[in-house]
Amino acid sequence: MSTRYICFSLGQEEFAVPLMEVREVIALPDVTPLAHVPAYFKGIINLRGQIITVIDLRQKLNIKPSSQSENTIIICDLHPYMLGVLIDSVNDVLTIDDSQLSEKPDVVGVRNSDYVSKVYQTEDKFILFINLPKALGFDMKFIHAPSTEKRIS
Amino acid sequence: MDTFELDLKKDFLEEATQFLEQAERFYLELENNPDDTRILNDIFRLVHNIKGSSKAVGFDELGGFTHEFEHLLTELKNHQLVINSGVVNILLRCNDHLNGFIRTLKEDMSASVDSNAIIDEIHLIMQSSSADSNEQNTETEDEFFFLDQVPDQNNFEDSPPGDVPSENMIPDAVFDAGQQALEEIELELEQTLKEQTIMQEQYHKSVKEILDAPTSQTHLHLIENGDSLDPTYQSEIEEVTTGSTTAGSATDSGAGTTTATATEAAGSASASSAVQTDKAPATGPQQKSQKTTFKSTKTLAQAKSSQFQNINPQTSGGGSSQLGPSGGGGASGSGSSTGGGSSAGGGNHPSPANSSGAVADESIRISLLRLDKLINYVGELVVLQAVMKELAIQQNSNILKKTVHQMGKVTKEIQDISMGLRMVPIKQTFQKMQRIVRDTSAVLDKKINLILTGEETEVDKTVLENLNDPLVHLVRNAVDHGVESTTDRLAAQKSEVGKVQIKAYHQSSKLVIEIIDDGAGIDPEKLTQKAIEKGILRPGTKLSNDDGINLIFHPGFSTKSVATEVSGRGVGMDVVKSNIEKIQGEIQIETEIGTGTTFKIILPLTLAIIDGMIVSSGDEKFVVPLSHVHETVRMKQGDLQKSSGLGNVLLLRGETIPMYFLHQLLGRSDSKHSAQEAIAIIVRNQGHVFSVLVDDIIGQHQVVVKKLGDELKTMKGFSGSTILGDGRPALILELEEMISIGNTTTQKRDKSTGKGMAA
Repeated sequence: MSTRYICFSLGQEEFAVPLMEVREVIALPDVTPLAHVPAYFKGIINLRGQIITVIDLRQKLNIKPSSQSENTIIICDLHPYMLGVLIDSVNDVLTIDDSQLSEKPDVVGVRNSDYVSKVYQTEDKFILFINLPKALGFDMKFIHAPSTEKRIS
Repeated sequence: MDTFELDLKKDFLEEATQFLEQAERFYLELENNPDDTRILNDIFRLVHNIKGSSKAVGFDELGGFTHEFEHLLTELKNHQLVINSGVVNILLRCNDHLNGFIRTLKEDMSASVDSNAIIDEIHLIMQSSSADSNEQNTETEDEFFFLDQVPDQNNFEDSPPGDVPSENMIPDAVFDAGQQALEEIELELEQTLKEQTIMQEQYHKSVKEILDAPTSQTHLHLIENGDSLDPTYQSEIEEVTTGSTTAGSATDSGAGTTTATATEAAGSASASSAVQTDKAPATGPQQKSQKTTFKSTKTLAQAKSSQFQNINPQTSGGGSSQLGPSGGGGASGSGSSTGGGSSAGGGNHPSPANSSGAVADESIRISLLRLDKLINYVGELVVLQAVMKELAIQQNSNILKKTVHQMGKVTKEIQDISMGLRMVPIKQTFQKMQRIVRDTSAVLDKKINLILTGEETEVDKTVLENLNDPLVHLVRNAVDHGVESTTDRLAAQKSEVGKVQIKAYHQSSKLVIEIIDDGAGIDPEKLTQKAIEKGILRPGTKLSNDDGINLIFHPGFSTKSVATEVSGRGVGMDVVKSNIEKIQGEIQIETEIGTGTTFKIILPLTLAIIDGMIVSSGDEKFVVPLSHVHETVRMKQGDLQKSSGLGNVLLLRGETIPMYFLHQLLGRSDSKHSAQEAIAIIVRNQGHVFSVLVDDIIGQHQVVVKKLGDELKTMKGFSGSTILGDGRPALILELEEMISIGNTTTQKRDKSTGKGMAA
């Protein structure tokens, strides 16, 4: 089975996420900063009347922006979250068969390895397939946070 | 299941939910006016509708239960069962059961719900009453025998008027049974005709019309049009007609002047009524079969009496007198129930189906999601319009300015309308309170008179949804804690019946809801005492009356030593308060010992738009809800005092008010302005006073509130966001929450116990 992926760069590295997770790609608009949130929460933007939170993936993954860094936002639909993910630039959309992907090697002591799901390599390319919810820290912490609301007896 | 069927079912469930909400009010009304047959008829109509449609869309189990329920209602209508609170209890339980049933079906269309327990209860209450109504039963039997002979007598040209028994021998019960028969006929017809062509539908309509209230000549024409019907359908009618030969032949002989088709229609109708009744579970077989005969006769008589009048308008007086046994009798019987007892006979009696048609409102249901989308885009439109206005001023073109101005007006209009779409009357929520008061007072054995005013007051749907739980709690509290026990009331020389009033009204773009009881009031001394006992306050603490009363909002505080079924677990009032504050509302208490307590909830009419003050801090703009701003003060030399003991304080007209800097609260380092040029926003919230220093106030606008994503749920200090005129998003500040985080992170101030709790 083959899936379509969107490939993008962060600094010198190339990453990919399933195209299904991405709703659109936009240039970075005016961002209104937030307060009392981790630094990788860039702020909120107005996407045609909808307020979208933007997260800087480079900052989240501790990747230094390259000197000619562009700023692009991919709007991701990670149900129930609709997030803007700030990246350098979108490079390509690839259709890759599952068999062409290899499992990630066992790595010890590399903080970012958790979110890497698969590895894709050809002669000129080395792409890390990432689990976006995991990479952004939205895989469980927020979704299953028990509601603190008390019910009225 | 195809989508069409699914849609039908969904629609039915939606509709049924509405019916049941209406029905609950009727039951409660019925308890107060057991003699009002109008209410009973309304209930009957609702339940019948549910029964009919549930069978039509394929919810047979539901149909089965409503059928039993309908039986009970029939007995009530026939006065075979006396309406008392026990019966109303059963009715309410049936309604609850139906509600639960429909909820279950909404989740899973193929779900099965066990109704046996409640059906048994229905049977039990019906049986227990049968002993009392034995006498009545024999009476009814007599009437059935008499009516059995009506087909012969209906040959009115032959039978002299003197032959007919006196009209008053036919009680309401008989008429009502007839009416019910009519309803059942309609239902049966609808089902038979469902899959026929449009032509046949038209025919069906005319049959229905003639059965309902055929008073005008047009109906007959419609029936005559039926002559050109599809032959397959006609044969079907004939089949049905042969099914009840007695009824059919009676019609033929009785209505010699009417067209053959009309007769057939009446015949088929009565035949189907016979079928319908036969299907009914035979609780009393003998009586049932007699009823069947009666129903056929009754229907024929009605149909004919009207036809007779239509054909011979000039002789209608004589006709109806001759028709005395059927038409006139029915009318006189109905006199008390619906007031339609004119000499015209039962034929033009308004049938329940007709009245239900009149009730139907000119409205459609729209999903809230679509509505929100619309409102969202309208918000965008407003923003774009503002941008355009700016541009028009720059362009200096008169025609552009004029057009933009016009557009602004239209936009405002659209915005108002779309906002209005979310407004719903508070009625539904109030009706639920009736039930809660009834149940709570029954458990506590108190007599409560509930008065509702302002049911039509409109409020945003989201506000209303969030209001439900707090309101339930407050009303329960009013009955439980507010109103004293009957003995205490008598001792205090009050009326035995406690009064609880719920009032809703608009006050300067706010919704105010008051829950008033005439109970013992709240004693702040006692509350303070209790709080000390519970270790909430330090022994010897003295509180002002207001602070004392506000203790009831303290988490875990309860004056009841034992938790009852109703309340007293100490969870509640704090949640009530926080729930109301969550929807930008506030709650006030007015109480007088011995006279009663009033809880006053003040809410914004809508959450979608707020009046906001736009302030700046550095380069950033923020919105402060205007409702939070008590006043604003431009800082002068010497207003701000820095002290090591109290932090920054504002000296205002002799008051010392804690002051916080917005840029510090936000964790920003830069502030362009010196504190001396800045503006202080003063917030007063139930005795808690503080001020926040901002760089400037940019303006006041109505802003459309946009939710922040769930990923920002953990971010404190903001209640939402909005889009400003320049198209950029801005955060809406929740100053109280913001300074409380500031307090925990920067300085822990020892606030007075009382104020800490009230806040």
